[in-house]
Amino acid sequence: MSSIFSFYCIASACCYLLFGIFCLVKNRTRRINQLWSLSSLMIAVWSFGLGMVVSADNLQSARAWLIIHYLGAILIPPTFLHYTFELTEVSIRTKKQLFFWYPLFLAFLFLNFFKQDLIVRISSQKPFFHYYTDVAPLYYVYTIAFFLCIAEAFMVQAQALLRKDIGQMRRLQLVYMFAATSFGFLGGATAFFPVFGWPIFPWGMYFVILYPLLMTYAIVRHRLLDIQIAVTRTGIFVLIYCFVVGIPAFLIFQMRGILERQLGVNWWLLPAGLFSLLSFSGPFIYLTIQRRAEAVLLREQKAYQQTLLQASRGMTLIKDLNHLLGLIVHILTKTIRITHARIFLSDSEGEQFICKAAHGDHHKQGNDGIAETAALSQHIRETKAPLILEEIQAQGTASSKLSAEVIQEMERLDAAVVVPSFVQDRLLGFIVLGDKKSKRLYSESDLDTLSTLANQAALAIENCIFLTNFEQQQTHFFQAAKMADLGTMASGIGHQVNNRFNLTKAGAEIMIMSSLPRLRKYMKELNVENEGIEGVLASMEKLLKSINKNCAHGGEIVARLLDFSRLSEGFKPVSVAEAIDSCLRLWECKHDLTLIDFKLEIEANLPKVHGNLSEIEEILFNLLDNAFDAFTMKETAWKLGNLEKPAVVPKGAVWLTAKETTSSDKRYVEFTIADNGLGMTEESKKKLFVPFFTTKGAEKGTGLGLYIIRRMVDAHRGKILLESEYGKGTAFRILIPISNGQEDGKNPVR
Amino acid sequence: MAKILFVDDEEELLDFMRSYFGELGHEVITAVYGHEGVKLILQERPDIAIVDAHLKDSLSGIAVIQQVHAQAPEQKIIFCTGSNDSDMDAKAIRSGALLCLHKPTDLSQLEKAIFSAIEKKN
Repeated sequence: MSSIFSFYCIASACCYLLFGIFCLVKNRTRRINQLWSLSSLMIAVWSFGLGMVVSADNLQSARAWLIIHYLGAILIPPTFLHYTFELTEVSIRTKKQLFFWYPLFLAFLFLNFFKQDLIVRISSQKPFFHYYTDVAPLYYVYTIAFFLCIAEAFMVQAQALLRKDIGQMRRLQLVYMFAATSFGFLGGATAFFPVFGWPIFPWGMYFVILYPLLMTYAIVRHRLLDIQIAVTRTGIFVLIYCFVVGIPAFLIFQMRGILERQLGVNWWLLPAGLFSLLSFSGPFIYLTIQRRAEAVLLREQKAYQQTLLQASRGMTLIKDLNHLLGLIVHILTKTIRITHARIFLSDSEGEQFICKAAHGDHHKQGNDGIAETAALSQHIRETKAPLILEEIQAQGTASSKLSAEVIQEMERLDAAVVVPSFVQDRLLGFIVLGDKKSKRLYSESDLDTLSTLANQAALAIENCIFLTNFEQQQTHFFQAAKMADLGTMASGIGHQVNNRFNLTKAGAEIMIMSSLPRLRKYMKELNVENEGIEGVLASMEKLLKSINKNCAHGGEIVARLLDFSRLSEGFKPVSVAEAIDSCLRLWECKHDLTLIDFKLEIEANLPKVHGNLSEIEEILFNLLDNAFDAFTMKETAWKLGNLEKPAVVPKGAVWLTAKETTSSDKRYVEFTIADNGLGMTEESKKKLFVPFFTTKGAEKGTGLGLYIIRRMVDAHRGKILLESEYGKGTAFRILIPISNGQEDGKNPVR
Repeated sequence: MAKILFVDDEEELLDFMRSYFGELGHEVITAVYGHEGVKLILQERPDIAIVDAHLKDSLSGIAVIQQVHAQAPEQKIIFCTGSNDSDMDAKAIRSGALLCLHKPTDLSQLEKAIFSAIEKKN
């Protein structure tokens, strides 16, 4: 009996030792880890000493081990209390109690080494064991101090537990600690029974070992997160192995007499057989029970994880980005039942993460962007794993500045968890999740599922962005191709359509200018005078003139449309003089310049402008054309009486000047085309650049000239200015930027 | 009376021109192909040649002007186009055309252009 007990003691001592080392290694510099390791070490010493005492061969060695046993026993209470103070973050004032406890227990320690008889003795008279502790005069004082000290520690823990302002995770930690330590201490306290001669076997010692096993398992496997599961698994494991080892051991130690009587010399076959049977079936039983237990415990969790995984698989099928993002936040909020969810995606400039979709309570808050350089973004990039606010708070309150910033940012976002979305190594964005409505923690498997979802989402989002861009590009390509086609087709179309107009017009004109006069001549020669025939001839002439005019107008429209189709050709340095020269040549062909005064002033040594020669020609030609017409229109207005005719009728005049100028610190060449024609009413000025607006009358103007001029000037990043007064005249000023000598294939503005 | 040569792919138009200017007593020669045009211009040396941008064969109006101008720089040519393309106009002028007319042209305008061009010689 005592040998198996001592085996257990030594085993649990080893467990404690390993556990203490494990905690220390995990974070060597943290105070709480140091204290916990120290306290574990003391428990290990105590347990080891006890094991050695009960299995000692003689009084001498039993006494020697007793000193070791009590070295641990005496130091357990103050170190444990100190650890508790640190864990629960008590005030300095409470901590000062340690100044009382440490000296007291150190005094006991002193006695243990030098005057052991005063505090503890060895006895061979105790029940169950060969050698065991016996009371000495001061032993009662020690026992009282021991229980007071431990009771204080538990009270502090309980108080901390009842505090309302602690986080979910911290509370769980404390509950867990509380349960495990009480397990350990209640079990360990049973070692006192035989000391006082009570005939109760210290069964509790067998449970002491569970504590470090449980803790280690929970920490290693579940990062202390899913304690519910950890406890269940450990509990099942321990329970099963209690049976596996316990039943044969019970048979051996308690039933040996009965078995020997029944089975004779081979009595051990039964416990041995049972042991092997149980140890074979143990793992299977364990797995079955564990699966059942988890299925019950995690039914809800498993269900939504399944939903999320299914959803993540379906996501890549969605092609509209906003729809996809909306769906993700909706699914998350509804299935996990959390307060809110938000998705942040990297913006196109890569400067910050912008909230693209939100769902849930805190819809409107915290939707501002997160900078790429923010602590949170950096932290996510480093860890590449989901961030849990409570975990960071628990780990990092004392540590780096970074984690403080991360915590602050997460609190601003009202985030319980932040799950990153990576596509390969590129952080595409992240999902921010609020607390679960059930107030339960996110478990490790939750986080796994969420990570999978986030990465699937990242792929789906990439997919969507690609598709959207692709579609846009395709439209763009198509448009560009269409424009290019139109450009190449333009001259062909122009030729074709204008040839029809030209032919029709030439036919009509020949009839007006040649056929009709000849017909009249012949009629005169034949002395035919018939009002009917004259009438027919007059109406024929009218019709032919109408055909003529309409052909001219049609040709004009084609010309403007062609200009429009060519609005995007190459820009290069253009000589102002050359542009003016070639446009004047065309203008001279169209109008009889002897009818007006034309003044041309070109500043010497004008720099070249940045633009398209033919467009600049077109602009100038159109404005000159308008200027010429303006005077004719004035004459018409005089005739119709819309404008008072002055006593001295001036001659129509058109001025064209070109000079260098600066406007808002940029150099331009300014072309001014002015006339003394009809001028414009305020009404007309407003509608001047509206397509298809014309004052020239439907047969003459297309209403497209100034609209296209404006487009052309805009394309040159130039300016167009207008001064006009009805009855006085109009002046257009066109500013075209001076070339810096560069040539580019593309139009700057389009 | 003047000798006028038209090169244009539009035969109907050439008919019109022939009848109109012929009526006025001018000598009118026409061609629909570029090569034919070049040959006729160099052969006939008209007072004026009116060349359209688009012709029936691969030789464009501008190419005709260039070829003629290379061999007879003094030959007067008016370029005529329906494409309304200033680039093309500029090219024609650089190649040796006196001026460019845009189709649809006014017959009176064309007449004026033709005779003012002929007069320039004298």
